[in-house]
This record gives sequence, C-alpha cells and structure tokens, in this order.
Amino acid sequence: MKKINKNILNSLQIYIWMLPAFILVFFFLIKPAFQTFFISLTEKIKISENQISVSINKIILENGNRDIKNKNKFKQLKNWKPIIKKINKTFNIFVKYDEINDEMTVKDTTELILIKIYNRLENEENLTKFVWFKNYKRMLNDSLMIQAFKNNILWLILFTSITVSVGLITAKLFIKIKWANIAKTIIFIPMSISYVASGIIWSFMYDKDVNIGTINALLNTIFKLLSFTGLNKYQPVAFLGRAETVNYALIFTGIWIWTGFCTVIFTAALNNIPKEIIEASKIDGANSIQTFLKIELPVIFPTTAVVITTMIINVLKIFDIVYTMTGGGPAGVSEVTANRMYRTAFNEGNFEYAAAIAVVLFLAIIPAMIFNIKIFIKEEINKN
Amino acid sequence: MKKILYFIILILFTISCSKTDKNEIHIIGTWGGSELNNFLEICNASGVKVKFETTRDLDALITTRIEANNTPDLAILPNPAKLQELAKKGKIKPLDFLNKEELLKSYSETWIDLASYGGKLFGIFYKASNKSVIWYNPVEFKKNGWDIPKTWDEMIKLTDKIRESGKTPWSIGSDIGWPLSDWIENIMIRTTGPEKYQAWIDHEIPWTDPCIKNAFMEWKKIIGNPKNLYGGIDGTLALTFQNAAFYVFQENPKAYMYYEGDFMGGIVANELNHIKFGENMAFFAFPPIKEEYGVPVVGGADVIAIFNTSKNVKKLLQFLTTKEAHEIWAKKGGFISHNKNVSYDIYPDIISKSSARILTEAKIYVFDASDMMPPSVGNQGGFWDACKRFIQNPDDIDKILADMENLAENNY
Repeated sequence: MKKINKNILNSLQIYIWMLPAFILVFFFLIKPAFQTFFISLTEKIKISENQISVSINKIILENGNRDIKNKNKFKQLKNWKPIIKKINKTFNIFVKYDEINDEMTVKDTTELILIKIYNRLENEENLTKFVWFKNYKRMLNDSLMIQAFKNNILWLILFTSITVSVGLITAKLFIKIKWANIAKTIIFIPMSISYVASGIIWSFMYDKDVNIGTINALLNTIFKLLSFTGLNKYQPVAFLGRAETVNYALIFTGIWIWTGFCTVIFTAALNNIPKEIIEASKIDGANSIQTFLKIELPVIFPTTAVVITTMIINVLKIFDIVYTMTGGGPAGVSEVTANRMYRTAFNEGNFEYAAAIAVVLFLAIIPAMIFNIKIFIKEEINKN
Repeated sequence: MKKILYFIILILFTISCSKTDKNEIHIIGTWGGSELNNFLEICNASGVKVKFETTRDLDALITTRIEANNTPDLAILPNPAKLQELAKKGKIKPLDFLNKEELLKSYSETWIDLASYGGKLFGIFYKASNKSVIWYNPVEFKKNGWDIPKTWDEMIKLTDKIRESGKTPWSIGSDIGWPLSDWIENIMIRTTGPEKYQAWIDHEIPWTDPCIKNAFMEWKKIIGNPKNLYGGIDGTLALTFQNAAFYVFQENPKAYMYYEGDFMGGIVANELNHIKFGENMAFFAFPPIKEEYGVPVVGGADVIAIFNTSKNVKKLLQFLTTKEAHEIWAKKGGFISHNKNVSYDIYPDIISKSSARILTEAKIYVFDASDMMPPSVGNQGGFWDACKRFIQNPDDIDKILADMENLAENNY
C-alpha cells in the first residue's frame, strides 16, 4: 500500500510543483485573454438622447402646446401633469409631480428625465448585447485607428531597422577601441531609465521655447553664431506640435532608449564567435569588412533574428513614449494602437471596443512571438 | 509559539499604520506645484483635512474609479461638459445643501446655470479665466487721441479711423489658428446668446445656420480689409500669437490693438522689458454687440463636484463658496475670482484687478467653444482651419461652413 502511494505521490509531485505557476498563468493570462476576446464581441446598449428629446417634444406638442422653447418653464405648459404621466409610461420611469419645481424649464425637465432613464437602465436591464464582429468592422472605419495602424507600421520599419543596424555597427566598432566599455555603458544607460521618465525628459528636449528645449536652443545658438553669413533669425520648431515632425521625434526617442539593448546583445554574440573562424578567414586573405559581412554576420544570424523579433514585439506594444510625450496628438497624428486601446477603455469608457483593439494587437504580436520562441528552442537544441 | 506571537503583533501594527483617517477628504484634480499649494492653504483655512491626488489624465482616472466603486470625495473637473455627463449618469451628488439665494448674492446666475443639470446644482466653479479682453497701449491711444471703444460698432469705427490715418490697427497671430476661433466665439455669444451658443457646441444647429454665418460676417468688418492687419493676410497667417502681440507693444509699434486672453500680459512682459501694466499695456473688455447680452466673457474654469455628502465634504464645499476662500488665492496672483463680493483691491496687480472686474460684471459666461467640441471639429483641421480659410478669402464663407458641417456630421 505504502509503495503504491509513494509512486503516485512522485508523479503527482510534478503537477503539484507546477500548480502555483499554472494557477497564476491561468487566472492572470489565459482566462483574461479569453474573456477579453468574448468582451470584444459585445457592445453596451446606448440610448439615443436625441430620440428621447424628440419623443418628449412630441408628447408636449400632442398635449396642446405650440412653439415650445427650452427655456419655457415646464409647469407653465398646458397639461403638464398628463405630459409627465405619458412620459413616465413611455419610458417606464417614475417622475413625481413634486420633483419639478416652479423654476425648472423644459430643458431642466428633459435632463431630469434623462437622469431617471439612465438610473433605470443601470438598475434593471442587462446592458450588454452580443454583436459578433461589429467592433472589428468599426476599427476599419475609425480614422484614428487607421492613423494608429499606419503609425505602428512606421514605427515598425524605422525603429526596428535603425536600432538593429546601429546596435550591430556599434557592437562591432566598440570591440576594437580602447574606451569600448565606457562607450557601451553610455549607449546602454537609456535602458536603465524608465520609459516614462525618458519620455518626459525628451518632451523637455523637444520643447519649442529656446530657453527650455535643448534642441531648439542648440539650433538657435548655431544660427546666431552663423548670423554673420546673413542667415535669418532662427524660428523655433515645435517638434511635438507639428504633424510633420512629431512621429519622427517620438521614434527617435524610442531608438535612443532601445539601441543599447541591441548593442549589448550583439556584443555578446560577436564575442562568442569561435576565434578560429576569424583567423581562418584572415589567413584566406579577407579584410575586416569582408570578414564582417560574409563570416560574422551569417554566424550570428540566430541572434540577429532574435533581436529583430524582440524589437518588433517591443515596437508593436509601444505606449509609454507616446502617452507621456504627446498623448496621441496633435489631433491624433501620433496615435499608436496601444494608446488608442487605453484612451478608448479609460477615457471614453468603451471597454468593448478597447477589447477588440487589444485582440488585434495580440494577433499582430503572435507571429513575432512564435518566431522568437522557435529560434530560441532551436538554439537550445543546438547548444545541447 | 513566540514566532507566531511576534508575527501577529507585526500584522496588527501594520494594519494600524495603514488605517486611513476617516476625517480626511480625498480630492482628485490636475493641479500641482504652486497651484496645489494655494488650494491646500484654502482647504486648511476651512478646517477640513484634505488629501489631494494630482493626475494628468483626470478623465481616465475618474472613469476607472467610478467603475471600481472607489470614488474620491471631491473631483476638480476642467469643464462643465464632464460635470453634466457625470450628473446625467447619477455618479455625482447634487449640492442641495447649498442655498441658491445665498449663492446668487455672490455669483451671477450664469455660474449657477452652467453647473446645473435637471434643475439641480451639481458643482461650484473655481478659478476662472478671461478670454474676452482686447489689449492696447494707453500711451499710444492718448498720443493719437483715440478713445476706448465701448461697443462693437465703435471698435469698427476706431479700426477704420486708425487705418485711414495710415497706421495698421490690428495684429493677429494665426499660424495655428486657435486665436481666430476665440474671435468667433466672442462674436457668437454677443450676437446669438447663451442658448444658441450651447446649441452650436452640441451641434444642435448646423454650421450652415445663418447665425454662424452672421458671426463670421461681423468679423469680416475687422479682418476683411487686409490693411487692417499687420503683415496683411499672408503675414497674419504666418505670425505666431506671441510675435503678433510683441508688434503692438514694442518701442516702435507696428499695430495698436491685440485680442487674446488675460494671460497675454505675462507673455509680453517676459519678452519686452519696458512693459508697465496699466501704463503702456492694458486691456479693455471685448465690446458688446447686441445690448441684450451685455458684455459676456468667454473662458474656462474648473468646476468642483462631489461624490458623497458626508459632513466634511459639505463643510469644505460651503467654505469654497465664500469670498474668504477666494481671497486667499486671489491675494497671491494668478487667480481671478468670479465672486462679486471679493474686493478688487485684494489683487496684487492691475491686470488681475481689471480682469476680475470684467469677469464679475459679466452676466453671461461661456466656455471656449472649440475646447468643448470634439477635437477634430473644434481644433486643427476643423474650426481653426475654417477661420484661417475665411481670412484668406471671406467670399468663400458658404463653402467653408458647408465643409465644417460635413466634418461635424461625421464626428458627433
């Protein structure tokens, strides 16, 4: 008896040790993901305040009133009591006669009725309606979302290509020079600051006022120094305020933050190339550039792939920089998907639409994730 | 056994440390720095303990706190639109404990109306701004024998007079466009009154409504003649709002009148060293057009709303309506009060004093319309651009308004 129990316990042990992690992953990752998907297929029933106004006005007219203006006192209308009765019946609410004082106008009374209607909706009915993919269709027509998608693609192309290439080049160059470590530290330091802090610092850097914004101050000084050549006075540029420059300014901040990451990874990868291969190529007469392009790059290709996909995953999720620096402005020019999701959910309170945006973002990141993991597994297998 | 005892004592201690003061009121708002310090001083004077949470994203914070049933006691909202939305959904409590007659002794009725919904008062305003002032240089006016216009027609006559004497009357900076929309807003409220103004904001009347076209036509009397604007039409469209002001107040002025809010004083004084408010820089109220509307003020103000009616909340709110509460901040500057009983002498500088006078004498106060409309309609690409197009070609007005109407249709 004891021996059987011990065996069962041993096999069970694996699952018991996994259980805490599994519970966390299930309740904080898997279940919410499915819930988000289901929420994105629903919609909150909205009442049309316009329609209600129209109905109320109709009832007032039907009771022998003409030319009603919003500022007319409600109690002075003809048959105001039957009007209230009919309104109560039509909208299934209960407005008491003494809730309307002598001062209240038609507009005030309409507002009171709206309050009662909203109150009734909250207490009684189930406000959520199943609408299949309506939220997703809406995204295709939403000009802000389209701008956000366009911007994400811009970020994707510029951010990824520049961080990876600059990271690669600096990794290669900083091995040879004397102060390599200092250079690598400087380029990596932005990674140690929180993204929000970086965003705020760069907001100041880009400021239009020459007494605050470093970039404008620099350009102003240069123009002043060169004024003897007849250059006109420098007009400060609002980098974050102009539609033409804002996206590039934000992307540059992102690049400033993340390039260090690529440099460090590539440095490690380049250092791990077996020395024999480099020496062999030198013996064969290859110069530095040929060695770099034809030998080193192909050898570190798995690392390059991982770095690229990591950067892609980062850039699709980009939020902090945009949120702290421009909030999506000016007029939605610098919007990105994650920012739209936040605004829709928390500023507009439309959680269902935001859920749909979240699902789209999730689907966009999955291919990059899968690729990343595949290469990682391949590397693990190769090592072993 | 001992270990368990120590553990229990530690837990109890931690719990007792984190107990929140039941008498403390929790407020959320966007104020920080010196603004916040001034407000906290006022709260101290009321005798109520306050904990203020500053946030840049007030909208999001309030939405989530309401969803989570974790509302603060007070919230300082940036405009009445949000107040009305919360009142409609029953999330904030009416201020039934305040006496309307008492309030009317200190405040114009317009302030009560703006913060009411469904016949009940839901908020009190605090810290208003004044965007209905026209700046000028008294020294230049005296030198040239010009009088301050008291009506719109007088201002147009003055414009013509200045132009005919060979000088340029106005300097307008419209590289972005928002100063232009402020002109139209002031004209709208003075020609159509508060109800139509609100209907305009809510898109209950179309942009092609004759009253809107009429406002633009009135504006044309000032900007229609390129000789009225410094730099002509092209110059105006390229000028920043700051530089436009500098041209009026520099040693050799290029123009003589400038319209924008009371905050311009600080901006100009910062740039030009010889400015002395009251002497070579002052303002007069944006003149009335239709007598029935008097001299309205366009601007912005914060409004305070409550989520519950506990004893301390009521005490604080009652105090905030008194003139003492306003005087504490007014004394420090950077704050004008719409309370009629606050003595004008308490303001530290003549700009605040004059601005406060215009504010308290206004029977009608409205909020900056372009801020209250959906951003794509009210700001860049919409209202602001419409004004720029109008300056370039006033005859295009029908098409401009039709395009605005199209834009509005898609955004409301």
